[in-house]
Amino acid sequence: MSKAKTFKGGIHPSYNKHLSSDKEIVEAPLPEVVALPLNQHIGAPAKPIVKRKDKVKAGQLIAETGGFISAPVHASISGIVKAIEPVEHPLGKKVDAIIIESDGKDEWVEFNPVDNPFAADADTIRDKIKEAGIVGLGGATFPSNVKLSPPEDKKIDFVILNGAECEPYLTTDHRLMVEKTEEVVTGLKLAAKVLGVDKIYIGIETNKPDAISKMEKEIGDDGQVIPLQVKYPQGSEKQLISAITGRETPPTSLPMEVGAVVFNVGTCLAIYEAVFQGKPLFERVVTLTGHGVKNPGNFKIRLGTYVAELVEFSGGYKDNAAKLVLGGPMMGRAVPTDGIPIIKGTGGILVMTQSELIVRYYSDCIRCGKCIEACPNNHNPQLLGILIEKERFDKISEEQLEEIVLDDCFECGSCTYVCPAHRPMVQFFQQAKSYFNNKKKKR
Amino acid sequence: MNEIIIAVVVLAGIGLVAGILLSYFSKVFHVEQDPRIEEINENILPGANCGACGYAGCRDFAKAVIEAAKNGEDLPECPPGGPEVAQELASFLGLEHGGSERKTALVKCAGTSERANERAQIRSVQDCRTAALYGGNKECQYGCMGYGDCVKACPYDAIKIYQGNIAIVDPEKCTGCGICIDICPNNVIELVPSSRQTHVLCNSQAPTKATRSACSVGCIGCKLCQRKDKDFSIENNLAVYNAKKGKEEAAFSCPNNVIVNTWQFSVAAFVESTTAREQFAARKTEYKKLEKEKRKKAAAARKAKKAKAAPKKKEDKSE
Amino acid sequence: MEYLLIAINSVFIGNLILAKFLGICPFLGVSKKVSTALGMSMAVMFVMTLAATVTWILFHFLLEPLNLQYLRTIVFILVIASLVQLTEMAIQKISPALYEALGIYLPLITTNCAILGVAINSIEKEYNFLGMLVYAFFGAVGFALALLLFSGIRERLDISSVPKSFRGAASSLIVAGILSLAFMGFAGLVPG
Repeated sequence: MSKAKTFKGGIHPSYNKHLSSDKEIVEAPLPEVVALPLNQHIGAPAKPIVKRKDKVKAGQLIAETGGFISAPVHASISGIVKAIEPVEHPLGKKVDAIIIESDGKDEWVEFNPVDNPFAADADTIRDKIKEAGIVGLGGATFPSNVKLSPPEDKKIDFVILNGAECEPYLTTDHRLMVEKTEEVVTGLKLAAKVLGVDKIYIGIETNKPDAISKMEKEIGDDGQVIPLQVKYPQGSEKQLISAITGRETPPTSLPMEVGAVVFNVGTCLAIYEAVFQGKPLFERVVTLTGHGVKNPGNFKIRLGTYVAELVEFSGGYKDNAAKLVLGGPMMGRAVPTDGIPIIKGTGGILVMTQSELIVRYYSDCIRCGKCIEACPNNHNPQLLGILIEKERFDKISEEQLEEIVLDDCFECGSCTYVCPAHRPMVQFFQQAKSYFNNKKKKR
Repeated sequence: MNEIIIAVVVLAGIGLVAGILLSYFSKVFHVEQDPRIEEINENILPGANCGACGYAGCRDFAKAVIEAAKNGEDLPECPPGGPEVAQELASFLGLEHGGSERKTALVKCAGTSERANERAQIRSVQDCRTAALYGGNKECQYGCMGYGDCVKACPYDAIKIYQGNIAIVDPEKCTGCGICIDICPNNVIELVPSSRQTHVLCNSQAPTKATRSACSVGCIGCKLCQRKDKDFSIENNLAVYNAKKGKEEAAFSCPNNVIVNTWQFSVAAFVESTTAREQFAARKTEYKKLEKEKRKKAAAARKAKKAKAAPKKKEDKSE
Repeated sequence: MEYLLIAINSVFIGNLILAKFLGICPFLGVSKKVSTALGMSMAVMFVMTLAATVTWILFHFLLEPLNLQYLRTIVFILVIASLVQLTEMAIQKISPALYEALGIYLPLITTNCAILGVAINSIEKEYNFLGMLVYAFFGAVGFALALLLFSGIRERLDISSVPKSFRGAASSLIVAGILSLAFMGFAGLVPG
């Protein structure tokens, strides 16, 4: 075992993973209705190919890709299409979704696995993954088949499995690595083969010793497990690559520029299921956690299940439940209702209590520089925060910081966490991004 | 006496030499320049060369203004000149470009808090941009949220938030600079020609069912206005009007009263005044009554014509 | 090293803006951005040296022999104004790139009292030719120093939360005053 590696910057929030880290994955019962948004991935929304009153089976293609960077959507239960209408989406704006009412039978379509996947041609595997609608389940939801097709001139040296799971409260990847070790590793090895890469790294934070030992045993000589220091945001792509390989990805470029491709644990499992079993992506594991639910745990659910149904199955809310967040407390999004479907990118559902909600009013920047120390990407949140707060977008463009704000900040929240003046830095950056994106559109 | 003459001569001499040198060199060193720069510099700008605009002198500012107008960007501001100079500059450059009209901003939403349904209570938010990040405070995601980012941004104080939580632009004060358009996160504000007198006060591209449940004055894309006036077009479930003066019938035919004709009611009145709406409703009922009577008359006339034709036939037959 | 002393005097102790309070106009007007301040400084350096030279020559070879010293103010103003116009035209023709960079500031300098101040001062202090050159050039350097310092502070002030009654010119002037106080610390640098 090598000494635990890490990256520059970052913070140490309280993790609260004990609420669900030793809870085995439980399969949730069939939901009564699911809502499958057409936009669960980065890229063009999918185009529906079914209409109202159509009968569908679980695993059936109901929306096809809308462009080169896009992913199809499959039905997650069998039943009748009730409507195609806008539903609430974690990102705020309502999105069109296909709503299916269950017929209670849970009939699945027939699956076509790939024969002898390790001997198959790379393009066959890629097509299968595209067909299955697999996107990055770590939250970024980038279509995996596009990730597996880097341009010819980019040489890939490593494939890295992201087992860091740095976000507090979330434990899906941890449980998947412990319970589905073989499938995850097989999926990972398959991805490596498609990319033509033989160096495999598995990065796992040291707060998951059972996952480390299991993965080490499973991967054997085909790859190396790298224990990582427990720090947020270790699970971010660029920080992971920097910690494991020492290579720094230049700002606004993709990891393939430094020869690395990173996959999430859930995505590797989905790849395994798609290729070896022919199963498209319509289920995933989420962590329902927080001090506001009676029984936190890890659940395997059908995509499109409403949060309300899942919470009810798990045992319901506690009396002091006050806020619902989809994702983790650092990068998740607060949502106004539990009538919101769980989508491909949702890894966790966090219910916070009244006492955990502290509304603070922020003051001017006191120029302490803690945010600059904490930023894992070497930005200057202090200056940017002041400029955005004063709405000096002209100055941001002048100092050529527009690119940094738009593309390089991934809103990890470290700066907001450490700020002694309680300034909502991440919200400032989100506003600036929306301003610049709007401006680009209007020009 | 002598000394005074010498002094005068020396002074005059230096002045003459300087004058000759300058006029000679102004010919030798003549450089072709956009004459508009001179025009702006001499006649429009205050000429104080104070540098308050951030440019090095009035001439530099004039150059920047022409450059900005060429690229279609916002014109830089002259603080000492104030809104008067800004207007003059805009019209000066507008006329030069032959036909680009004076524009004014319009908030395309009449969904006050009585007419538009609330979505969720967003606590501790005081501006539109933040509210938009969380999905907005209205069910209709295309509408004006009413926190006033545009009000704060307008350098001419031309926008106000009226009771009912909608921003309304005062067309008298608006210079068409476009800053509010950049600021609005929902793109509710549009630059329209000042001469246009018919507006569709809705921005919602949501399908009919969604708009109906979200707001009582939303455009549901029913196309009834298009039937009365061909200048209306429907794009993405939203009516669009691009001409000068629409037919009154179109406004009356709209089931949700989304269209306003500014020669009858100002936009402000139509959005926030109940009296204006009542007057409009009264006119609409009158118009509908007239239409009904017209139709009845036409139907009666047709019937009469038919009746006239029928007995004639009988007569023929009997012969 | 007499000339070194003149130089230090011009830049620090007798700083044109902060000690002599000449040229406040461009100091407050062009100092909103560091880039414009830099351009202005370059222009002032050039014009100041040139103007001081021409006026010194005129004084010592035309006005003094004819006993017309009392005409110096009018003559100097005349000469400086024409000189600046001429220079602007010349630069515009010869090097448009240079004109874009700093020629635009030249009209601003025409009425700059700092130029006249330096011209008259080098007569008053009875410098020789080289002394006048050093005095004028380093006077401009001091001008540039004050201008750059001030514009840097102003850029920072621009994005800070200043109390409402102090915003704009008020805080700038207070800062200018404090900067001037700071430069007074140089007073004892050169004895005498």
